[in-house]
Amino acid sequence: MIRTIIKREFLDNILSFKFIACVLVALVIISICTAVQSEDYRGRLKNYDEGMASAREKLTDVPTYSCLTVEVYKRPSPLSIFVSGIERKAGSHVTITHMDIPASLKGEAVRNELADIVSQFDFSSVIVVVFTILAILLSYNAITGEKDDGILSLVLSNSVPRYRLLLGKYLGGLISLAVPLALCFILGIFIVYFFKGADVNGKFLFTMAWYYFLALLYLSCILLIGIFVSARTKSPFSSLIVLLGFYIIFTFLVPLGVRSYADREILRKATFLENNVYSFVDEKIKNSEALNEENRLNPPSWILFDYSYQGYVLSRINPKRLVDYYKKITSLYQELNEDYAEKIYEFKRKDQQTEEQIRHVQNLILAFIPPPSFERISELTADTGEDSLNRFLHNTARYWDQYVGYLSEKDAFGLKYFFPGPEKLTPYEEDLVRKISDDRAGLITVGSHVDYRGKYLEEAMNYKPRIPFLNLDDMPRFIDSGQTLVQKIRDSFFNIVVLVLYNLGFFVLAHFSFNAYDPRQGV
Amino acid sequence: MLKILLKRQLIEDMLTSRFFISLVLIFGAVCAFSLVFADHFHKSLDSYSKVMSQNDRNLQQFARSPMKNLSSPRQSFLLKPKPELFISEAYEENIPQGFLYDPGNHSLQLLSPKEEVSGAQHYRSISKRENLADVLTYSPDLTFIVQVLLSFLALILAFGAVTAEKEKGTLPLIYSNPAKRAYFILAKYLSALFTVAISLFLGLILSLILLNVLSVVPLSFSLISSFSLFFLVSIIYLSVFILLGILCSVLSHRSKNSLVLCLLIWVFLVIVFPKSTGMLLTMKRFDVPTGEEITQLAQKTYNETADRLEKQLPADWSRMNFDKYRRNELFLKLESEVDKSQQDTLDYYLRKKLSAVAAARRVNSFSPASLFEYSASSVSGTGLYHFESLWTQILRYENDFLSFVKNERSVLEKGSFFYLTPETISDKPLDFNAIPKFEDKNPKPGERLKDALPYVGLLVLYNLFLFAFVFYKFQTYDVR
Repeated sequence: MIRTIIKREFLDNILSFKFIACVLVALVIISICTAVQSEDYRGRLKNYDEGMASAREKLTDVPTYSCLTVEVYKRPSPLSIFVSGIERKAGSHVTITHMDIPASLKGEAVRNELADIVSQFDFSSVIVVVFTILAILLSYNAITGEKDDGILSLVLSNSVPRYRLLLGKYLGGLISLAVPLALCFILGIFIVYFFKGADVNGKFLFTMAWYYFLALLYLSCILLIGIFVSARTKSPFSSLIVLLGFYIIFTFLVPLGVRSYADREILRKATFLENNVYSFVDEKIKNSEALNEENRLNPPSWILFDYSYQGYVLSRINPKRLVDYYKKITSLYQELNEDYAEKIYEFKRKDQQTEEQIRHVQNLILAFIPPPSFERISELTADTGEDSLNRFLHNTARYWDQYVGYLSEKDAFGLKYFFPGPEKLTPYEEDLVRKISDDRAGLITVGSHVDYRGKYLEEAMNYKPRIPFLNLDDMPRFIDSGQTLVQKIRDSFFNIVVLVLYNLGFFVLAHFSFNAYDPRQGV
Repeated sequence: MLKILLKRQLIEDMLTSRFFISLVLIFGAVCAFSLVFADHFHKSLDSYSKVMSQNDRNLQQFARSPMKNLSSPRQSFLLKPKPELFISEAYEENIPQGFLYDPGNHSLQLLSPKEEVSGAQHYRSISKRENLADVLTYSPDLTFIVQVLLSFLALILAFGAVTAEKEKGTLPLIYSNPAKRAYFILAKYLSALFTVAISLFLGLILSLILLNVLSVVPLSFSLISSFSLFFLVSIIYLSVFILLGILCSVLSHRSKNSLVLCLLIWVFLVIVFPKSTGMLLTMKRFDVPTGEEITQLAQKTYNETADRLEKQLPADWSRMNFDKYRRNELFLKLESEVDKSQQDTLDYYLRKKLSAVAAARRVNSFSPASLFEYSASSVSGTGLYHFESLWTQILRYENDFLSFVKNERSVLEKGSFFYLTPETISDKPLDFNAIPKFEDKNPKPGERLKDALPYVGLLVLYNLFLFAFVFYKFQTYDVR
């Protein structure tokens, strides 16, 4: 009997105008947006590959350890084609130096910053907007509609238990949602495969299957809410209007209010860095000035000091006393910088923790509202949300420790501006040094130090010695293994449990309401 | 006759629970949004005035010794936060916050939205991480309330205009009276419009009061004019949805079908369509280089122009001895051209970005919800319109500033070509008060309305078309 009900329900649903309209709209949007996002993902992946390659390339011609800056790229998630999250806007990479621990990504994924005004739909928003509406439309007249048509009394006279009828209605609705949803997923995957967006492999398909299940769980929840409301109201109108009111309130109004409030709280509370950074920078400047004063070299003789790459060459032919002096002072500076980088990062961390706390409360509240909860589950499953960004930044901060440890192990500081060649000068270099030393007329005082601008400058600038590059095989490498499916499930566990509970709860509620329902017409 | 019909309809519309529920919803939203807005508005106004006073300090330094401090009249021109942001936020926080003007280098650069404007760029607070909004995020403002909530109310009021009467059996009854069909439909339309207008009006009054009480925004003429313009635009927009509702009702025979049809149209026009045209901008035609690439391109243009123009200089010219040429008219002209070529490249790409967004907007004109969003942003002078108006004002100010320096402190003889370099101005102190200062002024209501006119015009056209269609369809409607 239950099979007959399901079959009837299913056929009824899929032949209706609303069903065909919604599914068509969903299919059209999905095909366009998946194609566009595939293209976009391919661009980002290319950017990532090129970035990694150029970062590796750069590591092959590092002359000194202190010149070692590492670029770390964040690998775009293949599922960002379906759930764009914040990936496109957040940036693509960080640059690691000993001066600064990164707290945000660099690189502009969004080229036209003015275009933030117009947004892009993606697969998850199709589910939240179109499929939710479809679920509401399929369920709002589940019971009241039957009553209006007079079928309900007829069906009940057929000695069908009420819970069976309810179950049949629910399963029929669920199948009518599951079929077009599956169609959309298949279409999406097909487009990704066809446009060569991402590598369609087992892991990808497996995650997609899990995502499909989650989407179905969410839609089933909406469906049950619809049936419940339908069983509580007298006419399909009031049922539909109540449901749509809920839809607008809980899909748009409440999440908007909660998120805006959270944003405001973050702006208000996470101001530790903002309040302290200026005095902190002043302190740093004062300290470095003191450092300068302590180690002042009186009087400076001549120095060819250039902060560009060629500077190594020029410093190579400076008098040894000056080179030693600059080695010492830059070494002190590096320690200072490193110290302050850590302190600034602590400040940033404090603000970040405040932000995370507020976001945590926000997510906790929104977990109880199915549409935003599903959005969050999507982001966690696709690994494209704020959590993914924070995890990456956290990993880079840990990597920074390894990196700085490596530098100090190699005694890198103090060599920053100095040619790392052999101690002994070549005959040509000795000749150059002698010529420049004799050319007293070329020395000019610039501020606190003496600069050489004489006639041998050009020769010295054009002199290209052979620079031995470092072998960086023993350098620690950054590894971002990404989230496994188990980790993703663990992160979104709470939201999923709430959804499951909603499913059960609303089924039970619908059951009780239906049991007490008066199927007579015109009462 | 029309009067009686209207009265009957009004009583029917206003005394329903949907009207009261929506009123409560609107009031709740207004209260919540103004709470969020009040604090934030003052904070952003504070940081804006900090930047402005830094500008003043820079100008003072410049005034004390113009020649030596030519690099110091650097000024940041930012979008001034307006109380109108409550009407339409228009994603103003997500677009670039303004320009950095450096007269010493003759450059006007876009401040990227990521940049901390108050100075310590390197220590950008993590809390200021730019708003990484998701797809379905709206901003908490009055535009959202009208665009989503009230348009829905409009549909709910109108979907049963004809079908409900038919189902109740009152439709043939009304016809038995000597009532024209036109009057019937007009009464339905006007009554729904009036009901929506009342709730909107109350919401606006409430938000004005809350703005005044909570965020201490004085009720100026300009604010009230923005509110009234917004009210006008909203009514035109909501009228479209009322007509759509009536149309659905006329097209279908049962209220249930009419409601479903209304709903599908609403979801498509208000949410799906406006939120998906961003995909257009990824097309090759609208593609622009990244910020870094644009800087490189500008640098390249600069170098190329410099190489080309260097040939026009006398033979003994070289980069090492250019001191001698510093006040030479030809040299100044060439230097200005080189600088201009760099600036032109930057401007070219900014215009390209703007036109890409404008193209996306033109496509969006299909949806009344987008038309409304754009006209609301224009009439309240926020968002992209604010940005464009800021740019025009800065270009005007740039001229004013340069001609002021030229008239006051140029050491060149009159008539010769003036270009702002340390050698062409004297070092006598300037009168700080006489230096033109920049201020981001809100354009007059007339100008704002003029900018919104294309969008509003289209909305009016929608109205007329729908009205004619409804009218025509209803004449042939089967009332049985």
